[in-house]
Amino acid sequence: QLLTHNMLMAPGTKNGFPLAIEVEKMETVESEFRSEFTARMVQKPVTQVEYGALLQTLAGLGMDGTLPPAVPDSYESNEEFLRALHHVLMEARRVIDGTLVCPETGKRFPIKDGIPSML
Amino acid sequence: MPPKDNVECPASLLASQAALEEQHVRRVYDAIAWQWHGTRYKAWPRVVEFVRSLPHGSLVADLGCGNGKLAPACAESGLAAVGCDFSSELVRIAAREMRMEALVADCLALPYRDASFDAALSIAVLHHISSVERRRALVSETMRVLRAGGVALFYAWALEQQEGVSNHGAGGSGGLRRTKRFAARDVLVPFHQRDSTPRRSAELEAAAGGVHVPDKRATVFQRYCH
Repeated sequence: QLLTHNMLMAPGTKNGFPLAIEVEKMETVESEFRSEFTARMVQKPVTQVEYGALLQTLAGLGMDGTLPPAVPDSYESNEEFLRALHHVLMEARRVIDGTLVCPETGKRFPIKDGIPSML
Repeated sequence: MPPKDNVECPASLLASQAALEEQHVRRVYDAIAWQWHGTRYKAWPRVVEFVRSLPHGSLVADLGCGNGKLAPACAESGLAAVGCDFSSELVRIAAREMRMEALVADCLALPYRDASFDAALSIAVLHHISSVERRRALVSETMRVLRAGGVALFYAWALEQQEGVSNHGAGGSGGLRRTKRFAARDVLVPFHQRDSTPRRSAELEAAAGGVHVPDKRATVFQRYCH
């Protein structure tokens, strides 16, 4: 899922993220929306989701415009934004088969049956 | 894991470090994954306690997730957990059977950005790492992927065990002593995979050096433990 992808970096690199995604097979799933859970993903100062990298990845997947160019100011109460974020991070574009490509070294990491191999 | 019949790990084997872990940890787990999953489904209480203490929405890295047995506790606590393990067979079980977001990776070279997780779990992994330097590297890598203020739980078997713990009223002083259960500091512990185990793979068993013992109706593998 794209939430996991946002954390991934090619091992042994300094800036090997975000990994480019080459999709062969993907699916969209449904998962329960919880606004507090989703809000925490972009909460400052403990934010872990790299929003810029997420937007870049979405553009690569042909999903431009799914999310606004920046996290809105009062995101905690912005349900429309949170639902869109939840959908992107947890539901849409779950890659079943494909490849992740390191932007720094070009190294390719396969994804098979939804499981990336990052060795 | 009650270590029965364990033997000292030969020094030359111990010196091979990564090769030792490849042969006597990764390949063995790949070969025994299904029986392992069938017999290790209960998450340890203190680990579950730790998981439950984490705030909702925390990003948790299960480093060495095995069969994904912590996935249910993480989900129940409203956490976003990502598991990784270097046994691809175990990762497959974690993803399919335990519905964990999981990937194949090396705990000494994690595929995660610096400071990307709120919490990390390293359960029963350290004792499969074969040198002080590598164990230190595992701890460093774990801390690298934690954000400032993040927490990690490391759980490993200890050579020294508390005296009198399993002998209530035996009058022990409660101090630590070196247990006699382990033959040495680094050991090979046998694992018996019953012949009746479903989903066995002759290929994986051969790669892991399994030895069939007809009287026990099982194939025996040697797991490395520190």
